[in-house]
Amino acid sequence: MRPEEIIERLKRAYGKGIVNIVVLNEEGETLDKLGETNFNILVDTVATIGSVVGIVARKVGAGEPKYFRITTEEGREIWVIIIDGYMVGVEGMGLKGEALLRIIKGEEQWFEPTTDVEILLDREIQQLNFMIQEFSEGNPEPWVKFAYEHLVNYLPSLKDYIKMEKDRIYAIYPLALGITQKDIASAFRVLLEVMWKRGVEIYGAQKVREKLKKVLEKVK
Amino acid sequence: MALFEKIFIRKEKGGVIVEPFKEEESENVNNAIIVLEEALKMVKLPIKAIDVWTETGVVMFIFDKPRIYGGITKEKLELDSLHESLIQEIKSLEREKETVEKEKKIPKEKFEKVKELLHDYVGGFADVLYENQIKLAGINLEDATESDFLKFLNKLQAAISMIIGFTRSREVIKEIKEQVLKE
Repeated sequence: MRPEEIIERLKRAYGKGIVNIVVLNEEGETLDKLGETNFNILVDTVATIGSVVGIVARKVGAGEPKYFRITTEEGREIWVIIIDGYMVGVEGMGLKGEALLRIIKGEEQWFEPTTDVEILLDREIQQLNFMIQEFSEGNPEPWVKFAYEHLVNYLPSLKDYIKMEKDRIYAIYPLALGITQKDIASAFRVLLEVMWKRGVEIYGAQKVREKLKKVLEKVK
Repeated sequence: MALFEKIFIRKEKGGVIVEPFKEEESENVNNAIIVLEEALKMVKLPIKAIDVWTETGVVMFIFDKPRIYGGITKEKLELDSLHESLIQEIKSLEREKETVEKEKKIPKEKFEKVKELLHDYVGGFADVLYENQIKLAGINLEDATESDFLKFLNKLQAAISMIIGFTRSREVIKEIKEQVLKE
């Protein structure tokens, strides 16, 4: 993997969400960079801390580092991914190490959540799938389509990340940086209300309450 | 199970508290912090925290000059709340330690003084009574606290009441206690 490939992959995944990227070798020499701000300070910081992080992690009994995050007093976050003899320093808002590592390795999407927002989305989807299962009474497809359409209609930024199968909805990651926990929570609140109303139209309030009780038991 | 399997605090005047404590680990953590501090001296950015993800979990350092807080967790997810959880665990650990440290220590000599005074009231029984009650109260004379001392006196009172009666034993212990503690 060449340094310019690393930068290209990150740029493709995050676009303007990334402020700075520096690719250093193990000696702390700059191989490639992208961005605008003062690179010398960033390079020094990544190289200096990167040179001791392995020793520190091993001494405290935590093993070999995969990546680390430096947080400054002004709230800057610099992620440093250690891979194939490179130290890749990446600065931007809302970035996460596991996603950066996977993107640098060349993975474009995956199915396990790695961030707070993704964990919330995963939990909401799990609950929604239980609801679909319970409400559909053996014929989930129309319910899956109904839920999908309402969800992406309410939160269009999710459209690229939400997928359908015959009997369930699932998500692919990483999510775009701008999607927040608040967005996810309010989209699903609205969706569950719509599902509830549709259920009442079909089965009546009493039966829907019983179905929801079963969903809640599964969610526990 | 606690979120952090190990937490550590670098104190203002140097030295590290590691919880749960193991002497060898404590030395390693101290050395790790020294290495990190030396590196930070060369960095121009003001660093607030460094979190390192490894195959097994996360090790985190929070710099709150002159103190440094740290922790190791198996939680691999990049939760925004991890720093907050670490600070909370450290505060509660410090509160526990403070409570233990604040309790007044009672030197061995005070216990010896009780034995000496006891002779005036129960004569030849004093030594046996004293040794038995120290043993029964499970007291380590090298590291006894005020609460250990009071526990010992309660047991002693019960023991001497068999010899000199309940009312008298209360008076005797009260006198001994006042005399020993005022010195």
